[in-house]
Amino acid sequence: MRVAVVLVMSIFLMFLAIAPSVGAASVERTLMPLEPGAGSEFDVILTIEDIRVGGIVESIPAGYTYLGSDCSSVRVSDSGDEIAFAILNESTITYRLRAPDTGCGSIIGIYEDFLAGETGGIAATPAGDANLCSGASGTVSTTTVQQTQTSSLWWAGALAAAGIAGLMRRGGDRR
Amino acid sequence: MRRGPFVLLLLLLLAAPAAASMPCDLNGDDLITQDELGESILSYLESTYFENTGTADRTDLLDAAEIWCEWGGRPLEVVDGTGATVVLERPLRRVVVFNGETLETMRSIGFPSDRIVGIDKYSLAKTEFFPEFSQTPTVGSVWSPDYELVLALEPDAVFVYGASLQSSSDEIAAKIAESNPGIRIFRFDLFDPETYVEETERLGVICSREEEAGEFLEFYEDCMDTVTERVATIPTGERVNVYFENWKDYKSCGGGSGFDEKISLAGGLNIFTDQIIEYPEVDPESVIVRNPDVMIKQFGTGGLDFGGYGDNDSLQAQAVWDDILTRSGWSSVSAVSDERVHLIHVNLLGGPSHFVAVAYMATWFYPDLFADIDPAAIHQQYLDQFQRIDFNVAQDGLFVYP
Repeated sequence: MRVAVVLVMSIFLMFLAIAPSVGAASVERTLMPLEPGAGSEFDVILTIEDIRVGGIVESIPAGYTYLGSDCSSVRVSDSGDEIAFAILNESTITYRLRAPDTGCGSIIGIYEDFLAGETGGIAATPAGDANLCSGASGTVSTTTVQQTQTSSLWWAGALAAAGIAGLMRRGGDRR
Repeated sequence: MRRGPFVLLLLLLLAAPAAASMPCDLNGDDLITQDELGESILSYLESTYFENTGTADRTDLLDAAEIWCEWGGRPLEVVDGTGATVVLERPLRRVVVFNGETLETMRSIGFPSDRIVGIDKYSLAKTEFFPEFSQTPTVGSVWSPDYELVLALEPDAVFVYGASLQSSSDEIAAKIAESNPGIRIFRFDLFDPETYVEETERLGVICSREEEAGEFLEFYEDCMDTVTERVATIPTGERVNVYFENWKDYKSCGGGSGFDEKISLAGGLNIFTDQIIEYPEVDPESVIVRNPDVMIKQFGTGGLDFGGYGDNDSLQAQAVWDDILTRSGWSSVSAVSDERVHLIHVNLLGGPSHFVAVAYMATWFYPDLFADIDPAAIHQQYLDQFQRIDFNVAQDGLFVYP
């Protein structure tokens, strides 16, 4: 059963990776400062293009703390590591995090465009195989992403579930 | 972290059975506010991603987003082709279409084909023109509707004819309203040049495709205006006399008929416009006496059911054309002696594509005045840009002859 679930998730993620985007919607994430120090506070800026009504869910690494945002519609999970934003004509959303004294991870996210009916992933920050790491020296270094990272698997599942649900609904929305 | 006062209302809404009321209108005041939509989005994201319960209805959010952006958050009052007013609480997601003209125009304005859940049997048979509907359930025809299937398809709305085929459409509307008053009935003809623009604008509002309808109508009106503005400069005495014939020999058209209107738009004078009967059967002698400059013969229906999108064999068209030129006593008719006899397919002359037919006829009536107009190119642009089908009119199909 578990193998089947992982297989379905993998297929969906591969589909997301190779399928050309049919809409112009996009969300990009930048950090300010680009390399926040251990224990420091920093801003995460989400730049949103062509989504008039939508939602964003960000997953932050363990040990990082959400401090607040400029978005009026926001909700944080009980565990504190997922943050949901409602997009209503916003072109940017800025939220603030505090880095831990030690710890590694990357920020990943997903967006939904409710006008276009599309779902997409927001590229991980830092990009590629790098991780945000706060070390004892107070500087940021990079490490290889841990493949067993719980949040990454969780997001793969969430993306797969959302995608499959979307495909199923596309086959015949009913109220 | 702001949960707001709407959570309880939202939970009640999500637990309630599906209804025709506006989605995400948490306090039921027929207005979706920014706060209500934001709260609904967050509840959806929370249930889908935080808790992974999947209890929230994504379709509600898709509908609410469209209502908030396109309708100002309120129910939308729309008007159909007959002037009947209907109030929509949600965008149309499942529609059944009984008339091919509406189906074609829906495609022109970009209404998503996956929202069309049932079509008439004649549209289903046009596999080359409506390839995307080859697997769509057919609900019969306006003369023989499959009510059971219509209801089983759970449509938001059913489209039938308006002023034409009125009694059949009346019956369908009445029976559906009786079985399920929640299903909206919209009536459109969408083939008459006189009402086509207004009907398409109204269809655009109903389908939430006003902008796309505007883009299509700009193309349509540009084509029609090019013809009508030029022929307006031709004095009545210099206009060509036209004899129109249906697929059946000597079955012509009288004044006020659809074909009479299209001939007039192209600058021709129908030689039988004085006939009271809409489609009279005329005496061959009277055609000789009235001596038309041009003859238009329709094919693609009745006994001349060939050509169109599914057939590019011109042999049958050539045989019809040859027969006309050798009709007994017709050698003195100008249209025959000058070989100004033209065959045109019902696909162009009879439906929403009539603007292509008008362009063809204008070039036949006044070749010098319309030397710069290429009706086949107009037809191709219509198929490429608005019908969005892969069809090359230069290579496939048969729409005019010669």
